[in-house]
Amino acid sequence: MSRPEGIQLMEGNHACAWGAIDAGARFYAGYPITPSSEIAEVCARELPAYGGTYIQMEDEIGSIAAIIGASLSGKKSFTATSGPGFSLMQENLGVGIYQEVPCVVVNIQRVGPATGLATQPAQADVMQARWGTHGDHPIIAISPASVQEMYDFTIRAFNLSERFRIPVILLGDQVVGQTYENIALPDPGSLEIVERKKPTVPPEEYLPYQPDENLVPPMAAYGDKHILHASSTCHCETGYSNFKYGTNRQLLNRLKNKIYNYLDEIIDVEYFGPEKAEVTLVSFGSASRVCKYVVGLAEKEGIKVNLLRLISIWPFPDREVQEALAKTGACVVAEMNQGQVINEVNRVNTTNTPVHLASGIDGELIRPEIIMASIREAVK
Amino acid sequence: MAVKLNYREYFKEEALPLMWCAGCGNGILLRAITDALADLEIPPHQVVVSTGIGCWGKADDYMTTHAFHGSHGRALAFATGIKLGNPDLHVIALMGDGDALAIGGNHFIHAARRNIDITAIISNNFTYGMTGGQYSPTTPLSYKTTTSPVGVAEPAFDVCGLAEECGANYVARSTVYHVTQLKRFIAAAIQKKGFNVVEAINTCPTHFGRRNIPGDTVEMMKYIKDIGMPRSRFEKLDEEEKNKYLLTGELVNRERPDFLSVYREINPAASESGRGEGK
Amino acid sequence: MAKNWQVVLAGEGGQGLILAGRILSEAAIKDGNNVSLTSSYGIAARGGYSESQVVISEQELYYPKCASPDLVLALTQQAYDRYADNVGEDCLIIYDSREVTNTKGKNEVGFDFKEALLKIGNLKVINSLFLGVILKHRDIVSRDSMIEAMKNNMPAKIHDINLKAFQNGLEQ
Repeated sequence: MSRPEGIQLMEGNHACAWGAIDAGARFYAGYPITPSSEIAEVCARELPAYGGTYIQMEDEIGSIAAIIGASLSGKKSFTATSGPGFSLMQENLGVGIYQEVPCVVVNIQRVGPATGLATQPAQADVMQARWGTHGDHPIIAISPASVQEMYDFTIRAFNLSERFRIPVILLGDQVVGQTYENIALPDPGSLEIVERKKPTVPPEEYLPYQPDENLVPPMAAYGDKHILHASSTCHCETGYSNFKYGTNRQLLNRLKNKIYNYLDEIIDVEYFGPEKAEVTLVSFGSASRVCKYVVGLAEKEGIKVNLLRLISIWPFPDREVQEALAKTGACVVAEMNQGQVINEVNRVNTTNTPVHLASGIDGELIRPEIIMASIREAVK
Repeated sequence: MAVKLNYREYFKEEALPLMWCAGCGNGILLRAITDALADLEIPPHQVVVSTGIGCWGKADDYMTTHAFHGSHGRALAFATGIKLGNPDLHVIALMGDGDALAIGGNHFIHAARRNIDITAIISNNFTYGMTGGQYSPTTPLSYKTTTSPVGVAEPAFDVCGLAEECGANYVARSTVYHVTQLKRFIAAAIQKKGFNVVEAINTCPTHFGRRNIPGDTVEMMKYIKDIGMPRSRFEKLDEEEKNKYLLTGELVNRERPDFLSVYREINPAASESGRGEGK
Repeated sequence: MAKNWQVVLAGEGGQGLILAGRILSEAAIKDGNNVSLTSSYGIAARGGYSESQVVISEQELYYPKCASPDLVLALTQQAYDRYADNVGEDCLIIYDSREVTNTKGKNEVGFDFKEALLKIGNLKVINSLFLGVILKHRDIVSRDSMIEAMKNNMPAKIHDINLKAFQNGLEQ
């Protein structure tokens, strides 16, 4: 099959795979899991024609390991999974972060814990995406809410990953993964694609973990004359393990600062509805679509509601949420879990704005009436 | 190659002294690998070593080639991606016995089944040395370790037998005592396409030896010299005797097609439809 | 076609409900609308309850499910029972009069699909038939777009029989 073009009906998972291919992904390793498997299927079918490779690994531990390896060999790489698989990936996600390996991990969230409701949506991996791997670390996670965004944000995930040399998590869910919608696929030539920075010094002067002025080290590929020594052990600029006092502090701070000093390039939110409102909804991903619908329902009841939709989840949009809380009478956080983002909202709630939770944990897209009930509670 | 290469091209001398204990054979194994690479005249930048975690997992600290030092048990999974990301590379996974066969057992059997073009060099010292000498999946039945104080209750894996059954193209076992043979097997494994395993029986006088082999590090070395036995003598032993020895030599050398050759044959890259080849 | 539509196609696995959902969705896109299609099937694909929900809107489409359906196709009693009490008065229910025997008699119309299919001479083309019946009652998409979408989703050798079934549905 050749690349689909123009406006058409497409499943979210297919849109994700095409986004990856258009972003330049040439390696996919994965393990089948509902509701993400269509991403693997498209990659298996399409990547060879692009000179790329698909491999089905023995488990998700191996899958993320393989994409990290392939990325270090110079290929843009990604994997896709859901709850149990995302849990298995946590170990090596830390390896990818520590060794600064660009790659994308797509998590099409389903209901957990354990097997949960394997075919049904949830948004309960928000904190796992942030803190699932052990140790101090930054992470970037972005959350699509439509089929179009499954395509667009997959490309954005690759771009952020290449720009910052960090694994980026595309935090989708079963609704955006398996819904079909009309999508407009752009001409691939018109896309802005970011490539990793290559070393400019001669091979003998190359230190693989010596950062540039933006704190990101230029990246050689295995096979280049610039020798790349990538270690999961505490390492200095040479890439070799180093246990001197201060090395770990320096490394961890740089890993953090290379992200947190450049939040303007990462943080993204969407404002929806009237500028001033009695209640501000905070939501993300597929739940945020329901919020947009609910803004209209609330208006019919005479309640002025607007929405702050988080597009980037991690790093958390502290400032944007803080400002929204300061401007509103009350806040309702709508999420398909028992309350994860709400804790982050409360963390930045310096104005003591009342914050309520609309929690969708029924294995389906959160129902509008659940959010409406929280809104009514908030204006009581 | 205009200039004959020397093992020093691959060996990071400024990292000396080696961190391994006196009497450990990892240094010998490292020399055998770097010697083999020099003999094969493979430039360091065309080699990637993927190491696991454990004593032998520190080997990349002493090498000048490209290197990946990842997580415990996953060296082969990372190596799989490294190889598929750039098939021109010589990818060598360096793993210990616990690394390759306990936590990494799943990756090991599937790498062998796929016959992916990677050389796996397993330093088998029958124990988890780095963590203090616990029993591993290759500790012989009834031998003592810190977690089997009266003897281990589990039978050991036959590393080479497992690799053979799972489909490895080349399987050889030697010891760090038999340096010349070891180097020859490593060179053969690196040259051959497919999943190729060299098991190097190694000494651990600090942990395994102290609890099981009377005497000093020299006795430990003699122990591994003596338990290795070529097929001609091994096959004359009765079944009970065989349990006391390890068959050494080139045990498997066959021509199964490797993963990537099969994959590319049935998935030809239609480069005209691709927007660039990704590299 | 200026209206927004929420259409439920419900029945059991094997009745082509998923494909029909795709065809209806693609036709709506050809008409210039936004569309959201969700299907529930999976292990039900070989029998058991199955449905497609198609939401069509000229505006940005927020809620991707049928919150208040405008039309429900019910090919089994189970499908009928699932929706009959839960839809608004304006919602039209088209049901299979052979399969659905216990009806509420509200805003609904029964249709003997099997009889029509026997006349057409092919029991497999039920989805093209019910798409015709749906369009006869509600102008959800243009007929041209529907025919184009049908052709795009079927191998050429079965175009004629499916178009015949579609036409038959339109003329009932």
